[in-house]
Amino acid sequence: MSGTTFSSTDLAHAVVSEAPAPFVPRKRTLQIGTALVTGMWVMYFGGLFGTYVSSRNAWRDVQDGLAAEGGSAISWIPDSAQVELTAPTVMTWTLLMSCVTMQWAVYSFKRSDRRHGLLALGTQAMFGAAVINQVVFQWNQLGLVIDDTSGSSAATLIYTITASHVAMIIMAMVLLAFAAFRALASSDTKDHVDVVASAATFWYAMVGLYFVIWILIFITK
Amino acid sequence: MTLTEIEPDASSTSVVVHEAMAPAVYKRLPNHILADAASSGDHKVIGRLWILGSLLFGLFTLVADILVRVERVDTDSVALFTSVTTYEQWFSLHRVSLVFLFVVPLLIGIAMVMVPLQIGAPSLSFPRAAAAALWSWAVAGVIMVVSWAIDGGLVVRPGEDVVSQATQLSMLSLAAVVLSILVASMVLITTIFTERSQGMSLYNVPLFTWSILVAAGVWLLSLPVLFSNLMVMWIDARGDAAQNFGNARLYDQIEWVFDQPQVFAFAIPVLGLLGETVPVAFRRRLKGYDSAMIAIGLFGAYSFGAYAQTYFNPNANTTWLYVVGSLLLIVPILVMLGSIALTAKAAGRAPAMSAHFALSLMALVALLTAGALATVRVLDSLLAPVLGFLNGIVGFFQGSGSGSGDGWDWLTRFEGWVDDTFDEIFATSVAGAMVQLALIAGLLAGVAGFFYWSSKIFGRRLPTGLGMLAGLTLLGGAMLSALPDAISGFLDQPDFGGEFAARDGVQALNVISLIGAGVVFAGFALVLLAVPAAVFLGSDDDDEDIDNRNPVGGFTLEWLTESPPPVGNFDGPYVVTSEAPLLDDDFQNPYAEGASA
Amino acid sequence: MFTPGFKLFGGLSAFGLIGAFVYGLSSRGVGGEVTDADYFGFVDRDAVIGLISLGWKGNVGGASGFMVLIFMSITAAFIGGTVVAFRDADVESVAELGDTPSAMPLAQRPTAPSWWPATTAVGVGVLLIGLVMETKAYWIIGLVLLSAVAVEWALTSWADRSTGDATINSALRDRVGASFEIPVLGLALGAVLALSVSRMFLWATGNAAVLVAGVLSVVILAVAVLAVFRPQIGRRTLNAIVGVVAVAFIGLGVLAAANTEHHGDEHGEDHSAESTVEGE
Repeated sequence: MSGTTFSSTDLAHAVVSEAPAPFVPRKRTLQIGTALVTGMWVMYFGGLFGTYVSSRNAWRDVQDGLAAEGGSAISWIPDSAQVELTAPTVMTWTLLMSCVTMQWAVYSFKRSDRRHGLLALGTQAMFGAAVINQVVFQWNQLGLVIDDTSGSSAATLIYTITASHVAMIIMAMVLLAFAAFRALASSDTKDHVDVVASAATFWYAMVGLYFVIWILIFITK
Repeated sequence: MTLTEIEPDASSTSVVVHEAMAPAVYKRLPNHILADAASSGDHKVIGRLWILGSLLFGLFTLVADILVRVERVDTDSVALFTSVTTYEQWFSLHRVSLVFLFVVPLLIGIAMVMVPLQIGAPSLSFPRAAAAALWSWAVAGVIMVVSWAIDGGLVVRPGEDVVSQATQLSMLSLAAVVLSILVASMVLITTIFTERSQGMSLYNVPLFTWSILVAAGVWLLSLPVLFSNLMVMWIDARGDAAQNFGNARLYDQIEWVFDQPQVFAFAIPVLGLLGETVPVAFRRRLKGYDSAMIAIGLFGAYSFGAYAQTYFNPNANTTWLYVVGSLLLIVPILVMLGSIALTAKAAGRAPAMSAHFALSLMALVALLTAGALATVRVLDSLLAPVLGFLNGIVGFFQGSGSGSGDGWDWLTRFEGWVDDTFDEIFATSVAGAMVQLALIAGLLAGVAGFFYWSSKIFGRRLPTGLGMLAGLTLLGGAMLSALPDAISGFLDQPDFGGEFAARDGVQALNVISLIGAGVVFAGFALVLLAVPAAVFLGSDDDDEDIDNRNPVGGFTLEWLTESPPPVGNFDGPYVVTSEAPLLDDDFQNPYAEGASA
Repeated sequence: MFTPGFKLFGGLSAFGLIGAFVYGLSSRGVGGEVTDADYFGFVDRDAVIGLISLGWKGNVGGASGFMVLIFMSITAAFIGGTVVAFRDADVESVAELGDTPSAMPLAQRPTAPSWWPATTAVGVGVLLIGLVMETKAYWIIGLVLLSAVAVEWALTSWADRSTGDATINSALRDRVGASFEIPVLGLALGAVLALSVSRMFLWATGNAAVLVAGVLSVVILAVAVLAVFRPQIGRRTLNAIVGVVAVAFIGLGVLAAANTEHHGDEHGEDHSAESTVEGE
């Protein structure tokens, strides 16, 4: 086996400027890994949406049967809950706008434009924080309780889905932070396009999933 | 002092720099086996730790199996566990740990060691992520078992409105175990895609690597749904009075993972192992390699079972997708058998018998039997409409012009017999028998991998005789425990067992099943003894005629490196042109002694 | 044109889509038997509308299974699309992205040893246990631990890419990391020590508090004097002494806090009894 033996003292006294060039990992590794992680999240939400729709349909079938027999039907989302469309719709538009800034970040990184890249990432993070803020406001506004006496599991499922989405936004913002860190710590952002592209993939999936949430929970109720 | 000046560190040791494949690996800590293991990023160390952890949990799992079967001997009462709830806890713990703490981690461990070696890579794609997955799995697994022990588990307690902290911990820790396995799957898939050698397209990867790609892909698509089940359960359990998920039939909500077709997803590597050992046994390439790849891919597709959640849709197991998918499960296995037969015919001689070859064949037998049981369980759903349709057509022609006829009498009686025999067996212990065999098939494949790649994993070959004996014991025990359960299922023993009014013969069958579980444990003990036996009693490595690098005569890249492989695995990158490069006439090892530069 | 990776995931996607349609059609009715079918004895108009609209309108029977299969199809298609766009990340395709297409990029090399993966597991364990405990502090500690691991891990990954020499990379990581690790750890340690000392003072009353203050001061002074007047004591020995003293402080603080709560409960009961008497 080829190789050379150095003593640790030699290595410790080496100077950074004389250090060998860094090992550059193969391209596409991070992007494929991120695509797989994104796929995991999408399947996770697929399971949640399936549970939500199935439970809602089952509830409505039972209530329709009660109503047909002359009893009083209870709605899937309790009447005491306040399901307003304003906040979810604003969130949808915010996330759609964030797709533009995300692509701006990727574009800037590719053109070695560090300043605009960081600006785009900062705007992105602001959008993310704004959406999280709106979700928290929405939770307070909804007024749902998990152990609702009606027996409907709408509260449990809505909280699980929306909280999971918040977790996804937070993870997306962490990826943005990594991209920003790489941009700050490197001499050329063009070398780190894979990081910001991976963050973009995850972000777009997050936006797409929120679109489904918006329709499933707030539009079709 | 500027950034360019470095303080000397007297605690470090000399390092060897491998220019092509492994840079200087700086060690901050003194040599200590535990510190090295806990901080290592070497895929071989990580893989060995997965294997070690799975074997330790496996001991516990098999003991739990024996205890559950001891309880099932007496169907009139719950004597050993004193209450049905405790029995349910042990039953669910056995199933969960069999999959997520034993068989799947064992296969992941072998894959972590062997996949980079098979594709000619020095490391995994994300070595630290793989290490994080390992340690998180270990910690979460211990917490899970402890949570069950402190009266948690996925069981319903009569009259309990508030879900206990122990039960919540069981939900969360199982979710963490699943997440760790998902991260490991992601690392394996990324490695297979991005770290292959030059010339090795996915058409040329070894079949074990291909089977890991398929298996990890199916796990990646199905296990997040399990994670969603657990999250909904837990969020509901956090309320003051759990409503519909947190305290209602907890195990039933995730039962789809331990039922067909999903349980077969944990046995996909069986087909991949066959693809490795069969060519070596017959000393030639596998015939029908492309068909074998397609068969493994199809097996993966048919084993996706996240849709079949009977908790939300009780009709799920009667849908055409479920029935036809269950039938089709056996087709890829038969295709693999066909490839083996064609290879044997082309070889024109008997195979070289070895422990790994025998073990992989035994895994195939177990998988086939499990597939047959899966087919039997859906026979009623398949045959009833088909027979009814046939009888309808016959009746139509019989009564043409004067109304419908009655169809053929024998067809009607056959339809009735099918209905009487197979209609009610779905939720019986036939299911348990199928699950047991499918997972033991996965275990046998793992053990086959142990023996086949023992020189790479442990640095020593394991005793062939011990391997054969362990395989026979494991397969014999699996059959002895599963087949009586299958017969009991036809005698209406429910899968869950416990306390129920059993028909004649069920208790006797349960005794045989218990003996079978003991035999499985004995077989597993033999596997555990194999490594110390190789160390203390010697092995075939001592034979000077055996090539240390390639003691089994394999044809893929892992046999080019030393046993065990050093850090960085290989002397340098290779260029390959087929799935069995060592058989190619034009393959040259540029790092062999005497090779030209 | 279609790579094997695309064929695999594309096949899974096709299976998911076809499976969803088959499942949606056959999962309706009671026991799988549809009694109000419009076509062929088993196909219902509602079901067809449901399938075409992907569950938006109509009825797809088992909605959970249908949604899971549709999402499986979408996910597998997404992964398949990614891998075919990257040509399965074959090394020859990846080489074309570099400056010299004929130079094959090397695969991932083994990384230097790191404690962060194992620390992640500790954080996960603390988080799991904290999420089921009554007090919020535990899971917050778990979350803080995981966040710290994420930062350190990112820093280590950055350092690993700085040069081709692992020793220099490690030194660079230490140099950059020390700029925030030392202040943060120092602040945290200082806070814990201050809290411990404050618990001791809360527990001790009157002359005991004076005694405690005196003893603590003498101990700190003794360690400082030892460090000044015995410079030949090795760094490790001194670190060990300081460590033992700090652990002792924290331990005593915990004990004092526990005893203070116990006394507080008793005093609380006494005070409530007294107030009841006074109210009469």
